[in-house]
This record gives sequence, C-alpha cells and structure tokens, in this order.
Amino acid sequence: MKKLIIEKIDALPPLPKSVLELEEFRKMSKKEPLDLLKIIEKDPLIITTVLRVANSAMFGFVSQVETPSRAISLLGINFTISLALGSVIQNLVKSNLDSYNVSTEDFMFSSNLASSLVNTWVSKISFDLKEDLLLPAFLQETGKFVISEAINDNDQVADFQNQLELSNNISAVEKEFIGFTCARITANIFKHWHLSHNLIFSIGFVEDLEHCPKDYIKKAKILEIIKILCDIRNPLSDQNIKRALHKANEYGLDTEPLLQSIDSIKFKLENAL
Amino acid sequence: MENNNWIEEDIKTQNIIDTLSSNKKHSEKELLALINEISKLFNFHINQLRYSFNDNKSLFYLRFKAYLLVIDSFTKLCLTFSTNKEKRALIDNILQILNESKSMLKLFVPLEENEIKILNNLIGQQLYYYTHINYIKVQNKEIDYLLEEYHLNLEKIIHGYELSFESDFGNKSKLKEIFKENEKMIFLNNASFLLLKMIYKFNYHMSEKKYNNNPNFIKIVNLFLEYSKLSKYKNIKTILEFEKVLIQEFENSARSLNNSDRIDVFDEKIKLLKVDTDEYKQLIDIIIDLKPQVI
Repeated sequence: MKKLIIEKIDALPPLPKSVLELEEFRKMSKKEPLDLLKIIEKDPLIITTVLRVANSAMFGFVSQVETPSRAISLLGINFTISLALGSVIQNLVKSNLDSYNVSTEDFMFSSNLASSLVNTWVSKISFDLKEDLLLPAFLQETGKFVISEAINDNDQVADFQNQLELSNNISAVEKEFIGFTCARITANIFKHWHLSHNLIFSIGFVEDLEHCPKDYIKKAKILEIIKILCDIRNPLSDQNIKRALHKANEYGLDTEPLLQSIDSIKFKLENAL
Repeated sequence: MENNNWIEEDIKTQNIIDTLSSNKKHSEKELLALINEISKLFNFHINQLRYSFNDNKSLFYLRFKAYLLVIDSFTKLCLTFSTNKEKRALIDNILQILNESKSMLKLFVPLEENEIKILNNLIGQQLYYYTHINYIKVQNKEIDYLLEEYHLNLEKIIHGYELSFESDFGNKSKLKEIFKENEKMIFLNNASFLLLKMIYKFNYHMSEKKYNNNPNFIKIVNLFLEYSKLSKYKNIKTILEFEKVLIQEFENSARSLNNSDRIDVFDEKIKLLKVDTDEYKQLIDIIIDLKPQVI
C-alpha cells in the first residue's frame, strides 16, 4: 500500500507555478495590483474563473468584465486572490472522496471551517501565527484524495468505511490501512510540488510531535486541534469538540478562546441554516 | 446579547478611527494589527447582514444603512490620510478591505438591483476619487514596469467612473445633468492629475528619452485620449504635446468643478503634491499659475 501511495504522489501533475506565486503575493504587506495581474495573466484557468465569477449576475456589473485588470479593480485584490486559489483547488479536487463516504462539498466545508477557526481562534493567540497557519489549515486534508483513490484501487472501500464507522479517529484508521496518516501524505504531496517549508513542516508533523522540529511544534499542535474539529465526517460534533478541548488542555493552550470561537462559529452556522 | 455585540462593534469602530486619526506614530506591526481589526469589523457587518437578510428584512435594511455609514466613515478617514506622508500608505489597504467586503456581501446575499447599484457606485467612486492619491515608488523599478503601473492606475480610474455611470451613480436615475457632468469632471481631473504626476515624477528621476517612444507610454496616451474631451489632439507625438493636453484637461475640469459647489480643486491638488515637494515642485508651480486669481 505504501508503494501505491508513493506512486500516486509521484504521478500527480506539477502544481501550477502561479499558485506558489499567488501564495507569496498573498503574504506581502504591500500588494501591488500589477504584480497580481502579472501572476494571473500567466494562467488561463485562473483568468477564466476570475472572469466567469466577475460576470455572474450577483455582482451586477452592467458592462462585460473582459480583462483581468478590470476584474481586480472591481472585485478587490484579496477577493481575486481567493478566487484564483479556489480555482486551482477546485481543479485539484476533481477526484472524489468516496472511500470516506463524503462529497467534495463536505471537503470544502471542512476546509472553510478550518480557515474560520484560524481567523477566529488563532488570531487571538498571535497575528503572525494566524497568517502562517491560514493556508496549512485550509489545505491539510488534501492527502485524503490520494488515500481515497488508493483504498478504492485496493478494493478496500467497504472495510475502510466500516472501520471509520467504528472508530472516532480518522487518522488512526488511515494509518491502519495505508501505513501513513493523511498529514504525512499531504506533506509529501506539497513536497512533490515544492511548496514552502512552513506548509510542509507545519502539516507533516501533525500527530507526530516526537519528530517535529522545535520551531514547528506549536503550529503542529494547533493544526491537530483544528483537524479534530474539522473532521470531514463529523465537523464540530460534540464528541470532536470534547476531544479538541482535551487536546488543547494537554498541549497547555488556553481553552477559553477556543471554546468561544467554536461557539461563535456554531452560532453563525445554526443561524445561517 | 445581539445588542451587546453591536455596541461592542461600535466601540471598536470608534477606537480604530480614534487610534488612526491620532498624531501618535505607529509601528508597522501596530498598523498591520489595526488593518486586521478593520477587516474583522467588516466581516462582522457582512455576517450580520447575511443573517438578518433571512430572518428579518426590515432589520436587514437598517443594517445595510449602518454598513454604508461605516463605509463612509472609513472613506472619510482615508481622505484625511491623503496629505499625511506616513499614513497615506494605509489608504490602499483600507479601500481594499471596503471593496472586498462589498464583493463578499454580493456573493452571500441575493441583493436587489437598487442595493447592488448603491454598492457598485461606491466601488466605482472609490476608484475614480482615490486612485490618483496612490504614491508610486520609482526607485528600483524598470521603466516598463512603472509605465504599466501607471497604465493600470489609469484603467482603475476609468473602470471606476464607468461602473458608477452604469450604476446611475447609486441609482439616482433622476439626477440632474449637472451632477453627471460634475462626476465626469472629477473623473477627468483625477485622471489628468495622475498622468501629470507621472510625467513630473519621471522628469525628476530620469531623462525623457527613456520613455518617449516606449510602447507602454503610447498605450497610456491613447487610453487617456479615448476619454478626453479635447478630441482635437489626436495625433500626439511627444511627451510635451501630451503634457499640454493633460494641463488643458486638468485646468478645464478644475475650473468647471470650482464653479459648482465643490472645494477649490487647485488647492486640493496642490496640498496633495506638497507632501512630496521635491518631486513635484515644477508641477506645484504650474498649478499655482493655473489657479484663477481672486481680484
């Protein structure tokens, strides 16, 4: 199984350079629109998505938005970056998560939930940490697509799903079937794509603090708590909240702000329904 | 509980505005944290608008008005930063947050045409009222990149004016022609001012030869002439000829605006230039000369 996973990671197409550039651009304190335009103009997929969204009826732009520069002017820099990154992720998640018995919408929900937790909870710990963890939290479950495919290729879908039903811990089931956790596989995918060390190390050592470099321990701890809360099958379930609070306690993190963030997100979700 | 949230957010808004308007010098980290707070504040408004839209329409309309007022407060704050060398860099960050919040609102709430027009007009005005204030650094940049940067800024002013025009300037379909004409004058005045700043900044830092025949410069000239009222100057060959058109357009639009209810446009622009007197000394003198003399 390990060999199959490695083959699958190696077979992944290279990540468009534009994603790395967008990520670098996103982190800049002074964002020049011209630099964003130059990144977007190199990637036809991103241009198509940005223009399609800008021309949708909800934005109410009477004249056709025909150029990326017009889209950036009218939608704003950060909004355009989110659209651009989203289009690449959407392209990436073309495969399915059938082995987990969840849809790609569930995946997107969990990923967005992880971003919300970083914004509401981690920002209370430190602004810099929030900036560093936004992308890792959003992307840390990417490896599940590779795992799902490998489980399917090995005709183990039914067994895998049965085990998931019995266990509360997805990571433990993944390790039992694949030999690696999703965190380790995601880190290897990002290594394959030559993404930043911050992304690879923060994600890769989640649930493996023993081997984690000192500078990444706090990040890996926080990501683990977020991973528990954003469980793709049971996001924000009572049991997972209990587990996450227990973990936060174990890691010496103040549980009060975490609980406040969970309550606030739950309140918003319930009211949005 | 809900009211407490609102009071808390109002106090936060007041605190942010007070802190940013104070004379105290802020570190880069402090400013970043404040920008982050503004971003959170607008997220709060967007969330409140989302929930009230489904639950209580009359509350939604009230909140929409409150949201517009908060936008207005921050826009006015940006205006006060335009003549402050340290704080003007924040203008772009704040306006980006305002712009993004409008995009998010349109994405999450199925707004009516009237509300979309109000938001689109604000997006448009933000672009053609404020883009010319941006300070563009020349150091360590290639001339091609700089010209592209000015071209993009000119485009932003044009996109903004066109968007406001198409949105009936905030759904004011019964507006008098004079109002519409004034908005066109603001657009032309700010566009010509942006390009005059470009020429005088380049004159200060480099020789004309460096960009006279540059295709990106020609693109800027052609784009401006598409919108200029001075249609007789269509075959511009030199920077000097282009400068004359810009000065003429600037003067005409400024005089027209001064005749309406606005503040003195010449003084307003001189104040902006005086933040960087060295680069714009010549341009300041030119605008002082253009200013109608009070007898």
